Amino acid sequence: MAAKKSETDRPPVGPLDATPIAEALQGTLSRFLDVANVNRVYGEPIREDEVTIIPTAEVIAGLGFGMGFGTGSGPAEEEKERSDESSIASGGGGGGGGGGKTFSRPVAVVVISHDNVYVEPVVDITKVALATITAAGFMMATLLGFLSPQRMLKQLKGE
Amino acid sequence: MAQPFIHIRTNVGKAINIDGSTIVPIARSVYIRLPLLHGGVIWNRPIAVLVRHNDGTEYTLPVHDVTRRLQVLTLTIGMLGALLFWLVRRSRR
Repeated sequence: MAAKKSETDRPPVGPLDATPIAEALQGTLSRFLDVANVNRVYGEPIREDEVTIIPTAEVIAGLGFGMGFGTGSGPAEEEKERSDESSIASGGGGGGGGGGKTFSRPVAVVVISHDNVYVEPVVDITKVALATITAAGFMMATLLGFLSPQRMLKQLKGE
Repeated sequence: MAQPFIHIRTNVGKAINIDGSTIVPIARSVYIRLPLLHGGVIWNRPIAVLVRHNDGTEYTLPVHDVTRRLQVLTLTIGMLGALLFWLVRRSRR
């Protein structure tokens, strides 16, 4: 005869020790929010002879995480076959995940020389060249009719 | 209280004294919260430095992102050029 499982026989559901997870998430989140600090954008002054420079950078950080827990109960299949008496099986589970990425890019340099202070921009030629090639590609493709909507429709229809 | 979806803040850093000049860094951060998820996106960038000399003169030097401006300008020209070519081709048919 199958014994009826009581509530106390159920496997522990909640105790996916939440405290270390919460602490880890809190630490990650606080480090993530620290990206908004002004010190993340302006570097330490670097002195070379009479000139001091302060590097500046743009910082972009993304973070996302989520978690979930669930429980369930129902008749145990094996016991259901052996006996007509109802027996309850229960279980629970949980999981979570997340990810993040930080990008940083130099923007300019603050130059302090004697009494003269000025900002020297940092130009990333590679990025500008890539943008120029993309723009030229757009224009060339349109010029040659590759991006013509009519032609695209005809190709889709198989004409 | 619910936090706003987009949070824009101007942050002023600690003043730095160099050769009789005081430099105050200023940055702007944009925090976008992801709906239904924990976390978000933070975009932090320098916007200006406040310069204060010993003789009392004070001025603000803006920090321009020349790379970003050139990228946006080039891509805008490309898209407008492509649109123009397309309109010319269409009008000729």
